[in-house]
Amino acid sequence: MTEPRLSSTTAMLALARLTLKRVTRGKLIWISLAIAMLPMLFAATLALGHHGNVLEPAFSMELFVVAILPPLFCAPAIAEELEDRTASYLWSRPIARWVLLAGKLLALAPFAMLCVVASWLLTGYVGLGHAPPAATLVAVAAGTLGVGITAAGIASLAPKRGMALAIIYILLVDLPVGQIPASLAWLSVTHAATVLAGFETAPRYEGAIAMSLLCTTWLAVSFWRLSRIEA
Amino acid sequence: MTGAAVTPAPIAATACSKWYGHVLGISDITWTLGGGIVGLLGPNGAGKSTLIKLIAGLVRPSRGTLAVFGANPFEDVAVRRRIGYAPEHENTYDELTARELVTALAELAGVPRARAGKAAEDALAEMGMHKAMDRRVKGFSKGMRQRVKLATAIAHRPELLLLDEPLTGVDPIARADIVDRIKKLGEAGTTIVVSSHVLYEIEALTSEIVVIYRGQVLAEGNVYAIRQLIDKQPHRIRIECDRPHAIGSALASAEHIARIAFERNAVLLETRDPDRCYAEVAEAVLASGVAVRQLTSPDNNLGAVFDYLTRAGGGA
Repeated sequence: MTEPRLSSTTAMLALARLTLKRVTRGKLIWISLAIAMLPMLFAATLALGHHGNVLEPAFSMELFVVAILPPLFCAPAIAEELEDRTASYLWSRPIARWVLLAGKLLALAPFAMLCVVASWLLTGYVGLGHAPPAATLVAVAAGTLGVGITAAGIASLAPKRGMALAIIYILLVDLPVGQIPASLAWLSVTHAATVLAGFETAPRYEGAIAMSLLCTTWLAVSFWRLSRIEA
Repeated sequence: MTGAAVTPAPIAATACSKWYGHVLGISDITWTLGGGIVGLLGPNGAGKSTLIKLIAGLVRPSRGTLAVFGANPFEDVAVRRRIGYAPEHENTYDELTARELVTALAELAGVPRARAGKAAEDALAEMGMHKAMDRRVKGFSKGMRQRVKLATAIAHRPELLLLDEPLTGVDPIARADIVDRIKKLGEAGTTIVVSSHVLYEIEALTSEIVVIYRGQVLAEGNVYAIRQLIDKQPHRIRIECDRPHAIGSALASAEHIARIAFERNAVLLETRDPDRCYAEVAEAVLASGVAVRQLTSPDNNLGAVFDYLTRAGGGA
């Protein structure tokens, strides 16, 4: 009974270790690796049959990976805790509600980012014969983080079918909204990633600001929701 | 309750109610628990799990207050360090081994990382899981899962232990063993709240019960009075196993058996003497080598007793 108080950082790290252990033992990791290979195959096809600009179409394909892969990790990590009621194990312990989300993201976001960055690097080598520009690497990493946070937010709002809803949102709302040539496009995480990569006329710092604001908003939504939810 | 002026009571509920939308969880409960082992008895849907969740800080009261060691468990993170909770549901992190699961949850309960592994090992051994602690939870039987859940609840040595239906689905031999282990925790000074819809489970653990029905405390105190009422109703035991007829025929001639019915891979016994019946089921299982998958006590036969108490206005 005289244990020191559990700090939020310690709890987050413990939760991150638990999350990573679970993910690396599931099938998801293999499915994700298969998805991450798709842009590379696409770039190889382009390089063989096309002699124009390979980088931009390959980046568009990579954006699909950015749209699909983070929700595969981040949405079920939150949704399954709530749906399977395993969150009751965590929330009956001396940890703040927001630690659940922070701990999960701490484990899964870097993991997803690593997969996507590796995928984009390989795509560059296969399609261009060299590494893609550094700005595009930063953009896919930031995009993965942004989509992951968005997916976690959607899963906390609608745990039932959280992963499917998150993927649907990114594919059918975020990506199309990002294509709109108007200020509405700034509501899109994938648009912000495209600006960060330098494929839009807007300066990169605007992409960085938009990405930060979108991430902050979704984090705030998730924290608010998790603080109110009853397990 | 003599120390209440100095140390806050482990649990103090004052006019506490909880609704889930229009569905009533518990209604206007005022109850103080000083210590020891107390059983929450009531049929499914009576409000037992809601009360336990309120105490564990998983839900908050819609009206009234509920304090654990003087603090609000939903808001006050620190007080939850003093609580151990084993939920009713069976879901856990199945990809992990029992040792990994209990270690991780001990760490999250505040046990320093360097000591969490040992704490988990001790808790699992205490629950009779030392031989299986490096196996994944995925392959565990219902009884083993219950033991792992109990180990997750005790690994950080809480002062207050909340066990929601810890004996559900457990075979008679494991049931006796788990009861024994829970009693030992109580004897060691842990305050324990254990819920069940089966009086005979609660009775094996403690004589102090709180009867909950339709979200309200109907009766509180010694088990004897409620026992007399319940004994008038036949008690049902459903055993899911590979050879139900073997168990059925072993008990067919017992005078306390009122009825035996067979279902697909299960036998349903109706008895007037549950204590004897449980003992004889255990003997029959051991003698015949039948593999028991699940042993449950459908609670609808208790309904008449609870209805009687409601009409009598409670106060057993």
